[in-house]
Amino acid sequence: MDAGAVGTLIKKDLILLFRNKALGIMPHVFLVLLIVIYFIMPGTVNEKLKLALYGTNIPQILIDEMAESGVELVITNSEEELNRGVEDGDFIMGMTIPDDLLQRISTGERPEVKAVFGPSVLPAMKKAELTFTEQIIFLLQGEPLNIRVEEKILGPDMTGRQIPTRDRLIPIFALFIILMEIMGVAILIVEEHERGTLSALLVTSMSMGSLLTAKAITGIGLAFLQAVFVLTATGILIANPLILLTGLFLGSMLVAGLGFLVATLGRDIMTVIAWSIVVLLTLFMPAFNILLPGVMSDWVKIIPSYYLTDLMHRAVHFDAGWAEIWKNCVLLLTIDLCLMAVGSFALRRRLA
Amino acid sequence: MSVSRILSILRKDLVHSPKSFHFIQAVFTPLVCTLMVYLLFGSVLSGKPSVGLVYEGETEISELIRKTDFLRLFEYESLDTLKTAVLSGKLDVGIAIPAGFDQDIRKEKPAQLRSYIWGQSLMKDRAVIFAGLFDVFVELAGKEVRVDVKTITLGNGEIKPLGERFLPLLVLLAIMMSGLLIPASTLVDEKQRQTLTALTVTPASFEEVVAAKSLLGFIMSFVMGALTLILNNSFGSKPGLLFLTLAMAAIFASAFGALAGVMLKSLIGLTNFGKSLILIIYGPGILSLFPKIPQWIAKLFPTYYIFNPVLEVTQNNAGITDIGIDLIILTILIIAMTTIVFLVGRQKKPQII
Repeated sequence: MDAGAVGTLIKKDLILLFRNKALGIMPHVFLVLLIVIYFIMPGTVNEKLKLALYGTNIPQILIDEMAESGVELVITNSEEELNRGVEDGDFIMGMTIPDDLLQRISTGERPEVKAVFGPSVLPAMKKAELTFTEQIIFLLQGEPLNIRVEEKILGPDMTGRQIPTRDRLIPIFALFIILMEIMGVAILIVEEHERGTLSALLVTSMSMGSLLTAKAITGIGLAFLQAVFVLTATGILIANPLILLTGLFLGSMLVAGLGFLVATLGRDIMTVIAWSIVVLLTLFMPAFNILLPGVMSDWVKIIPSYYLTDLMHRAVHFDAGWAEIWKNCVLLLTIDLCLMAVGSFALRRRLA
Repeated sequence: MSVSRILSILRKDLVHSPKSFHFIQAVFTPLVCTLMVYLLFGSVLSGKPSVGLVYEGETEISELIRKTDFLRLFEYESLDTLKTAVLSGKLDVGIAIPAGFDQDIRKEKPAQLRSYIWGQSLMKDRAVIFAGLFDVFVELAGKEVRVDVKTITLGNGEIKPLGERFLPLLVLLAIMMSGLLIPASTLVDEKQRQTLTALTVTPASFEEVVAAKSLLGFIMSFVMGALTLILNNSFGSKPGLLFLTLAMAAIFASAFGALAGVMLKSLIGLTNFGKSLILIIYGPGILSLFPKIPQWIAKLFPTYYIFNPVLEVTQNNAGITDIGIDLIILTILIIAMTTIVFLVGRQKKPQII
């Protein structure tokens, strides 16, 4: 393989890419927008429900018990203060309980309790929040249920350190950037084929191996650098730099093999785009497991990108070390090499 | 400019364009997105916590939970499958109910159950589930909360569920995809195949070709916008005003598509152009999904003046006085966009043909 020729071809592809405003500049605008979106989104997770209460005295033990289960009861000084707080969104709901509640209940009366909601509460959630009112009143009535609930937490307990949505999106952003380059590599090859410059290149001393190597390096390099850029700009890379860089590099290597395969399937640029979308959508599925855990079942593990998203998710959000993610690295590398071998074989046959 | 020549070119494009990738993409993307939103927001993204049950013998608990309407219930055959579902995040909480649990509660005997909580579930979701279960147990025990609860909602109106909040974004997607991609891709395709030059040696002028492509974009954009509303059964109480908004939006989108078609040289460039503008085009819709972000930011996006009138008419029954300013700004944007298309077209014409 001629390293000089490979270098020249990479340089040519990059020059052509950055000369083209649409291909060279627009994707970078997209990267910047992803970063802006990240910083606009909330960086914390509101885990608790805050309820305002006015009226009868609530025993401190009940307030503490509710707080332990994630419901913070705040006693207000007046009904107006309660209404204002609910309307401003400081509380998800307010409860106005008469001072003489228990006295009236004991005489057989059914006193009225007001449950006040803000305008932003969904109807289904209103019903859910009403159950808190009923739970509190029932406990105040002093008729405890004789039920013992044994609790067991499965998986790491993230109470108090939940992952904000914007951080869940980071592995997805990185995956998206990498996957988009599959289309880039395939287009680089098919474009040369369509324009006839591929035949022109191959009649020089350049071998098919050198040509494919150059395209692969361009695609892998672009995917890797863009993903690293987003992770650096958002400050995520600091979390676990070596593992994340390894993961991103192995993930970027998917670009080469899959790019070759897509280029084999596509007759022209438009069919390449069409096939790329099919491949992108398939490879994007594991990302849903991060954003919406539990949506996908175990079959998602047959999709190669699962090992990249899983690696990144665990490295970024659960401080996973090499001991936890080495299997992902080995599997990704194996898949990368297999796809590259199959892809270059298929492409050589197609272009021969 | 001849109307009959524009219609002839339009007829040709109507016959040939549906085979092109961008045409298929423009038509199918909004339909697939509508389906996905329907499927996802009906379940996973409904905002309702999920609870799983596994029980020995008979229990009324599952039936009572189903009635609550604010929990998503899943039932399992074995404890292992329940635990796997909790670990995967499908369930926030899994409950194992022993045999005779219902009878024990009814007879006020001590009862016990095990709960398995997913470590990543939010405390508020856990609280809602346990409050819901508490309610169920109170009912099962034949007891009652001896008060009357009066519900008061402050402020104007109620917030819509997330699935409904996606509707204006879907409409925007349908309008912009067809309006932008169809005129742009048909123009660029003609340029790439050099049939544009061939077309302009006929009596048809370059301006007529651009007008025909824009007209196709307008028709498809309007039809796709209306189709999305039909699929979501969301014409609101003022369909006339909604159609006017859709028509104006389709004109803006197709003018933008014509501009892209005139400026861009290749279909791949168009693909990248579309990709790069995703966030700018759909920004107002995305921002509206996050009410905590200051909503004035959305007004900086030109597509806000399409998104907001659709939102107001379909979901808040707004009238012309409510969305009048938005429509005036949209009209200004249409005039500006058409002028830019005209000026850029005149400048690029010698290079194109």
